[in-house]
Amino acid sequence: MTPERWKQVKNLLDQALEREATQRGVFLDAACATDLELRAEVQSLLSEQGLVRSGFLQLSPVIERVPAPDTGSEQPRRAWSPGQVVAERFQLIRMLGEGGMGEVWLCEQTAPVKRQVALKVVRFGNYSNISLQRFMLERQALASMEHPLIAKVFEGGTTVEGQPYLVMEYVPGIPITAYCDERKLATESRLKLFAGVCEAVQHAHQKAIIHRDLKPSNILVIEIEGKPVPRVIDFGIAKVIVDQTGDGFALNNSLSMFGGVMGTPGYISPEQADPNNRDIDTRTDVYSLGVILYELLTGTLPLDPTGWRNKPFDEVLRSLREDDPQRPSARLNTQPNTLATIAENRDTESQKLVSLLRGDLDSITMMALEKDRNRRYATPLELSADIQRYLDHRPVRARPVSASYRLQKYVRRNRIALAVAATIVLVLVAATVVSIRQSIRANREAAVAEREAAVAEAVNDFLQNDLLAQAGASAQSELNSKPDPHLEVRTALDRAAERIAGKFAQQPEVEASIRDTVGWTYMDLGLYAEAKQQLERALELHRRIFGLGNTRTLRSMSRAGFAAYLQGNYRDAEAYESQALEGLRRLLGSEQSDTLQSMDYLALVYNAEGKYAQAEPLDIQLVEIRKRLLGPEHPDTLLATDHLALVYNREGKPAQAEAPDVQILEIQKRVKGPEHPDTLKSMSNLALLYTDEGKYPQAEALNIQTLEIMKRVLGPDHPSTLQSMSHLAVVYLLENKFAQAEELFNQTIELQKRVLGPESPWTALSVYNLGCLAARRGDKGRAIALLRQSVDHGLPPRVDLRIERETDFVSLHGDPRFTALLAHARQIAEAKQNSTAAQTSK
Amino acid sequence: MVERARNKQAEVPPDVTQLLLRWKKGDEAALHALVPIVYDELRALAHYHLQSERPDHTLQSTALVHEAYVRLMGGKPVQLHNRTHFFALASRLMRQILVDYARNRNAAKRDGGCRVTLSDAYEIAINGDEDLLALDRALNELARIDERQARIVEMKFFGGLSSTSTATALDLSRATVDREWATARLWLHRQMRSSA
Repeated sequence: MTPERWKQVKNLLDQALEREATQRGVFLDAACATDLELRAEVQSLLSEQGLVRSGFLQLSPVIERVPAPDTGSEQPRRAWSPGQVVAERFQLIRMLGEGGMGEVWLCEQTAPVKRQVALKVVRFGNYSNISLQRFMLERQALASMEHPLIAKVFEGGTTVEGQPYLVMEYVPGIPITAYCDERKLATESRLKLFAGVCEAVQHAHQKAIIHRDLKPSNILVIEIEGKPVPRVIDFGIAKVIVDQTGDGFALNNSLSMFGGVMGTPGYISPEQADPNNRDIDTRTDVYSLGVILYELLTGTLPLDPTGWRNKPFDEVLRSLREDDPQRPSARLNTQPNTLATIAENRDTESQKLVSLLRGDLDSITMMALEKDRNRRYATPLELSADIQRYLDHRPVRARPVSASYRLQKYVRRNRIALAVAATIVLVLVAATVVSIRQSIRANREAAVAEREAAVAEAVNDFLQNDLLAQAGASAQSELNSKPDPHLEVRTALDRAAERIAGKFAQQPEVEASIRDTVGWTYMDLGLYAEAKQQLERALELHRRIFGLGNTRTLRSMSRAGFAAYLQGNYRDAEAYESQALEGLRRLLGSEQSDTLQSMDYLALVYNAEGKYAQAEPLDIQLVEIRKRLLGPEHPDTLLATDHLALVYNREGKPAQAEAPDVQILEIQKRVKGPEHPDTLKSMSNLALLYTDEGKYPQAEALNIQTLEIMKRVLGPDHPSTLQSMSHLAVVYLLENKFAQAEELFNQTIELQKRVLGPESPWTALSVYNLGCLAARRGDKGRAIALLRQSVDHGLPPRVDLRIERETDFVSLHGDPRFTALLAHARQIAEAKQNSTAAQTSK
Repeated sequence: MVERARNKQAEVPPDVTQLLLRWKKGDEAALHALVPIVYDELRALAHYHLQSERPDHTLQSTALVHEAYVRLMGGKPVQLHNRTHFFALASRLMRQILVDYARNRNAAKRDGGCRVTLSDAYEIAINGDEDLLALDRALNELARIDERQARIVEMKFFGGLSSTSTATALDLSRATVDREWATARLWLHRQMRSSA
């Protein structure tokens, strides 16, 4: 090329670069009308853009090692240098890396065995205060991990200067993301590699070790016999280090990530980004795995970390806690400059990659990245199981509905505005769907049609997941309280529901899908009758389009059944659900997730109907299958086990309920920790069961233990703590330990009045129980007074009506004051029931 | 300042002169020790030249660069005409040092192509040594058709100057530097890829 020619090319290239990618073709056509060679040259350089790594020529070839920031409180550590011998038997070879928390050195261990190891030394912390004992304990836990994909921790200790160190297996690999890009691994191979990582993390969780700092640089890939093998390093190191300082984890770790050269905070979970939250559990690793999965699939992080360094720390943490990432496929579409490279690194083409990610892989990734950990995959194994399902072309568990939840906070703030907007947008969107469908029919060009079909799908997706579902937002309500069918939301939904009719005469599939969403939204609001109506319409449409023997129809039917169940219409519920279950079993097999869901629903219906003989075998089967497919520790398995225990208990077989309850408790203790709120709930359940069985000493011991932990973990005023107190008091009462029972009841009632209010049913029940105590002691006057007090202040009507049959009160029968009380209670119960009925019918 | 610099060659740290001589004789360890020192000085120089005119502070460094250049390039002593000339030379020098380093290392046994520790303070971070050699060749090609553009790349990449500094040194606008840089990157990348 001549200098003159290059000047020409450069000039055009420069102008083309200033234009939008879509405008460049037109511009070049015009500029190079007569010189096709010139155009080809410029075009060739333009397309080079897709191949250039972002770092190309951007980083200085010589990099300074940035000294660690001086944070003042840290005790300076004497620098180590190669050749030096540490702890008498580790000769330093070279530094492998350093971060805010410390340094890692490659060393030659000389005794007792000669081998190369990685030695991690902790930099920060006040070494003089280190509890060596605690450190040793921790490293013992780390050393207990035995998994081929986890780098071994050999030993740990402190140097003569008191710096704690850990000796780990040396893994001469490269970060998983870099490896995949370098080898241009296709998405499927990436997923397989990633699934292995999940299993390794699961293993650590079973040993009660949380990683807390999962990121690609902690997942190195080495090749063994030509096959890539991932190794997870630095397990639980974060915790070991934080424990040294005795400070909260979340803030410290994030700070160290910011302060050091260790990299971006892009991998920490929202709960870790909450400085006030000290409750970090295994699900934090699930989130980090989600980030890594996202990066493996798209080459980008879910939340863009550029600019974080210059933002206030609080703002970055807020972003980590609240900002919602784009779905992977959507993210790719916003990367026009790098998409080609990203696709090439995955051995495919841009559009193929986008459509590969759209759907299941989007859902799986987003479920792992749920802000609320209760909505995330509960375990890494669950995540890898879903990936396996995807790889096996089986339906995945992750559902796109969760998008609604992420908007919950936004909805809360903007409820009215949103409701109005929802109505308007629904109409607009509906119109768009129609016109897009029509244009697809008109346009025969395959590529265009495919793209537009994708748009239509996306619009529909939006409608389902973002727009309507947010109006309902299942999480509008707090746990255990009835959802508030907020007027504005409801109005918007009603209007939307009205507009569906007739709008989609030519698109019954779209109508069915929209009605399904509207139905679920009503369900979220607790408006079961409306929900049932919409879901039945959806069912009818599905039946018309696909026929009865179709999975979509059957799924629709199962949902209609569930709505009927929630409405209390058990007859319809049983009819729908049993037919759906039969069909799903036939079409999908008895172990597919939809089939299992339907089984679960049907068992609930039977249970509600009192058909325990039918519920029991279903639940037994469900537990067995889920144990096998998902593992005994999976939340779905635990839920089914819990249902089974409930059936046994209702059947009057508390002895049989005991085994599953004990098992659930044992698993919760191990997986979530002995003091986790879920574990405490299971402890309470089991204690109640012991009480029902008449095993009072066991009930008493377990209740005392639960209460002690609850007071400490949840606080002495927490409603669960109060409930646990009253359970214990009841056990004392049943054991005839009157003095202890009375003291505890009085204490409980006082707290309940203050915390829950004097009219709370829980307070009333405690007063009622205290009345039982008085009756047992023979103090008739006091018993009747207490009963009256409870009846007048919040006692549930079913208990009002039970007074007459309560064995504790037999001694009161015949007493005119008691007779009067019974009449009064009946009257009150009736009034209470009437007012409830009136409220419901409104 | 240039004249004064020439007069004060004695101020070059003697060990640097020694290192340069040893390196010319084929002692690789000398280069190893040299890079961080020279680079550090270049960075300091760039800073002072651009921030303010404080010749006293730059004397030693300027002398060092001058000396290094003479020794490395094996030519006769050069006159440092002006600031631009200085930066051009310094960047050329860095390029020469790094390319030589890569070539030598390439000839010797490979070490995985990762970062190699040069000293306690610096490490070379290039994506494999071949890349640097390929870049060197491509840059020569570019200089043939666009001398100024090649110099911009040399200053920004090897000299470690920012766009603004490069613009100041070459008396161009920042926008021009950025434009030239953007097109040069694409051209170089294609060139390196096709020659690979």
